[in-house]
Amino acid sequence: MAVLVNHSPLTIAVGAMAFGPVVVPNSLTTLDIRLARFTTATPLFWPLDTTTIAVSVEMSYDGGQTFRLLCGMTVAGGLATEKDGSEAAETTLHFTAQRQPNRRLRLDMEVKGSVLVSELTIEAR
Amino acid sequence: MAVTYDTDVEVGGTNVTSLTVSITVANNPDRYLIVGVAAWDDVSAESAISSVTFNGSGTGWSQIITEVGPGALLDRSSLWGKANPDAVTASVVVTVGGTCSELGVSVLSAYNVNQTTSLGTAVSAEALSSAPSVVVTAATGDLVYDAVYAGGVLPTATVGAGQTVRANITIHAQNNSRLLASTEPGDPTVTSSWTLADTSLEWVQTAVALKAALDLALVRAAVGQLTASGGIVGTIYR
Repeated sequence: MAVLVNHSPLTIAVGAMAFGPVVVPNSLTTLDIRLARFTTATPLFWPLDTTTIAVSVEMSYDGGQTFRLLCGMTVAGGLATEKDGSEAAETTLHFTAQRQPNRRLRLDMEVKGSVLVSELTIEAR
Repeated sequence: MAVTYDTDVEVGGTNVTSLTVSITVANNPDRYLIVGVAAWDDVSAESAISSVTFNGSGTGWSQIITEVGPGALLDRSSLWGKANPDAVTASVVVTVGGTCSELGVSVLSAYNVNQTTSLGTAVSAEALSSAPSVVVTAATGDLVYDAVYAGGVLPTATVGAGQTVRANITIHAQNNSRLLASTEPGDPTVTSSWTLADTSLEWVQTAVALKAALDLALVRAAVGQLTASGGIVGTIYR
């Protein structure tokens, strides 16, 4: 496993923002995008359910010259709970990408409602 | 004409309100898109699917079957389908009713699917066990697709005999929940099954047969024979 981005602080004003590109090692095909959420222990992260983000994951297979959409998610802030009743500390997006050299990952993020404060982690396996 | 696999994609997410995944639908005859959704939330309305779209349009999508359980638990497996999707590279977007704790989406493109009666009778099952299994009524040439939400302790999964794995991904690593999907060629009855590792497991499963398109060459030949023997007179147009 490789941690490509490790708890990188994010402060995104309302509007669009691009993150990356990030080099993805050729041998790794399973990727996780993780955004830190509001919990009682992390009250500054994304507290409002009216703050939403749309994340589009784009992959380049030619070293960053061209990108194409792989997947994405929309997410609202506020408190979310896990199956065991505990507070959910993260939102995650889990996907696979074909093995190929010269891969680059880019995130296009659009925030609505109010400024979004979080942390971004990207892992590959 | 036997229903034929084109391609498939899958994605999983936690605490999301929608998931998007890009798929390239090749320009084959009698195309069909089927979407398998595996989800859990402690509020049923938040994991209920409010819309499925492809290439920006929700037109033509229908819910095939949904199972929620087992018992009072709120694990969800749901199938959605659309005949004659555009032959393009575009996004499938699955939107749920709120912030859904666990959501997995499998999308499969197939062709040679009957465009009038695309589906057989959908079936579903749920249990607290390690052996998801449903029996689907189908026919030679059909293609059976199933989708499973599996959760519990260490739910690594092995697909049953004759099936091809189309999705076997983690939705939530800590909760060990997974989206499973497979296909199996049609037969009068097809059993879609999985074996989950360990016990203390929970699952819900849905499945359906994609019905084969009529083989027009065979129909024309049969009509030609009938016509030659004076049985019927006419012209078949497609």
